[in-house]
Amino acid sequence: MTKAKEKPRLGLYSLTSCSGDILEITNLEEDLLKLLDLVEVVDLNVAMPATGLSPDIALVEGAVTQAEEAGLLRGLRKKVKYLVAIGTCACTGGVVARGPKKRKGWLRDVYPETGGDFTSGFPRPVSDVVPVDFSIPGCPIERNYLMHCLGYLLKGVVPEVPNYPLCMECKMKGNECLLRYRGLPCLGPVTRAGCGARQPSVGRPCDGCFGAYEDANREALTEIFRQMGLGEDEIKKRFDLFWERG
Amino acid sequence: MKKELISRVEGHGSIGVKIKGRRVESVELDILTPPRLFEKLIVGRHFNDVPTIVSRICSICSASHRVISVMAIEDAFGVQAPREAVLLRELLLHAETLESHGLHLFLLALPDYYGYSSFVEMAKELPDAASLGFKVKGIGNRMQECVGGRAIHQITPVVGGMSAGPSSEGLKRIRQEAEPLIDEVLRFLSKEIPTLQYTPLVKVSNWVSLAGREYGYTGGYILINGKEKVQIGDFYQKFHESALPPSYTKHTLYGEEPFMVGALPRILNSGSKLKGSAGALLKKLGITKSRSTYMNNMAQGVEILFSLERVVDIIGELLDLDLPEGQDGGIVTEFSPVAATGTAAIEAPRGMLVHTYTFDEKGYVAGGDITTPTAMNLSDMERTLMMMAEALIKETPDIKPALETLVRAYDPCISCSVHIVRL
Repeated sequence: MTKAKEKPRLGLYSLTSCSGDILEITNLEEDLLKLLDLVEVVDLNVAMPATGLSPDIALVEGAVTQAEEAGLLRGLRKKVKYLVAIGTCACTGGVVARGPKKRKGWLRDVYPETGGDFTSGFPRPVSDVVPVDFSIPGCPIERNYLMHCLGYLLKGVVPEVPNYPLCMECKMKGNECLLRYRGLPCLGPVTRAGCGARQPSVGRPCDGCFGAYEDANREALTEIFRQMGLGEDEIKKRFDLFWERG
Repeated sequence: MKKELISRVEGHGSIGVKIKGRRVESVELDILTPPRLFEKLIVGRHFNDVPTIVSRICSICSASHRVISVMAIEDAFGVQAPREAVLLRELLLHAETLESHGLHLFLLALPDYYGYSSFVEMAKELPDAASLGFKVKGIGNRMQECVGGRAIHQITPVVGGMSAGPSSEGLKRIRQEAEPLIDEVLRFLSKEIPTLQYTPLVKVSNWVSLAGREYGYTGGYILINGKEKVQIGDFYQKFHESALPPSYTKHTLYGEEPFMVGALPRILNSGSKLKGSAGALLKKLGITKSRSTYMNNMAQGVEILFSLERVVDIIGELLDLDLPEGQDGGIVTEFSPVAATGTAAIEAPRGMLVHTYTFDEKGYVAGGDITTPTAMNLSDMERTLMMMAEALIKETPDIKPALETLVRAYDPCISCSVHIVRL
């Protein structure tokens, strides 16, 4: 008798983060059950003790700030077929990767008794430590985008993802352009589509958490912001909230 | 001293217990989620970016962080958000409580009561408990998506009000889902749930929550032990913080004493105001009489009912108001920034949360301070862990599982508490 084929093993790892990307995976609800039919979850440190089995696909959320985290990644890299960075923190360092030169002083200010002794370093993207096979951006990730990518990866194919600006999705929804008609500094024109234009759809300009698509024209949008009367510092702060590495 | 990682809490923490012979010398709870320095990240940022940045402190409580930061900024600028916006924010807080309590009570805590290592194991034999947990968590998520624009890191709460109203279709669907869930949760929690054997070993000594005329997650003042009232703006005079190595988290004390925040303190302070099925369940469970720290889990059950009932009422009220939906227009009060400091407090799912910010005249942040419920609970966790360790060590050397269940009863959110800062 032949043994039933084993399911691919999935590991979920949380580094320095708000745990929002793994929480989004638990938010898949019915799709989560479908996913659990396809894969065996062998590690999920927020909800269960580790099984000790090595995963085939590792999804890693969060930025790297600790030597232990870098060690975990190096260990995973040797074992897994696909190492996938999920969420903006894992992809670029995220909203917390700001002020590299000021960080030591900040630690001492914030923790006067202990700050000088902390071993935690500046938040780095996963790809600064080990090669990453694929990145799934977003703060947090989008469930549909993740499921789409996992579908490809489970078949051993590199996922095809949108390589066009958020504006495309915004237009498809029939939204009014916030940049053009409401004078709001929207990052849609330079940001990778994939979230369905969540922020513009509720009247708020895109903050760019998916990062740039290839060929995004930062200069052109900068010029538009200047014409709208934004100062150079304000423009820098728009882009460095999520869109580019701090 | 041996330290072991605790599983089934949000974030990373460990308990260190120093034992000499059969005597417990010390207990230390370490928060190992590394510091992210949020209070520093916001300095020099425009007030509009503050809620966006600080909601990233925690994914479970992102709505609380977003709403409270907006309220603290409004306090600084002297802005009163429209009543409709206040109702929508309240709805968002109930949504978050459902999502958070649903996850914690049913999926992280109940496995301890039934003797399973995780909800995955529990789901195989007790599918009802796990599926009810997913239902409560699910309705919370869908509400946050409908009202906040996203289940995690909500978008709509802005300084002055809300950037958009929810779709009335979405609200109707949520109400339809919430109504039958009230009975289902009441039935499940009224059944015999096994008692954790350690329940009588630990008692709450000081309990702190916001309070007001009615039961709720916002309130006019801070209430200590059901008696002493403190104004929200005086929080920093009554409570103070200190950080102890090697933990990354600051401890908060009431005077010199540990205190507890969360669902149980809310019930102890204001439970008598609960009506409907929440009130009925509270009477049945004997939470106020026991005052065991473990009762925090059941207090969350009562609050799940309270929130579901409130959600049905609020949606009824909102549907009568005919609010603008999506891009059609914000629900906001006009204002201008001023150089000032503002403070606000809210009851996040796991307890009182305080944000305070100082702005310059153009509305850029000069400084900020965020005190999270887990930071407030930390000293009390160490107090009760010591009580438990002392009581148990006489009987068994293997006290780890018992201590873990106690930490979990506080529902600590460790990623939240790790960046408590003063400027």
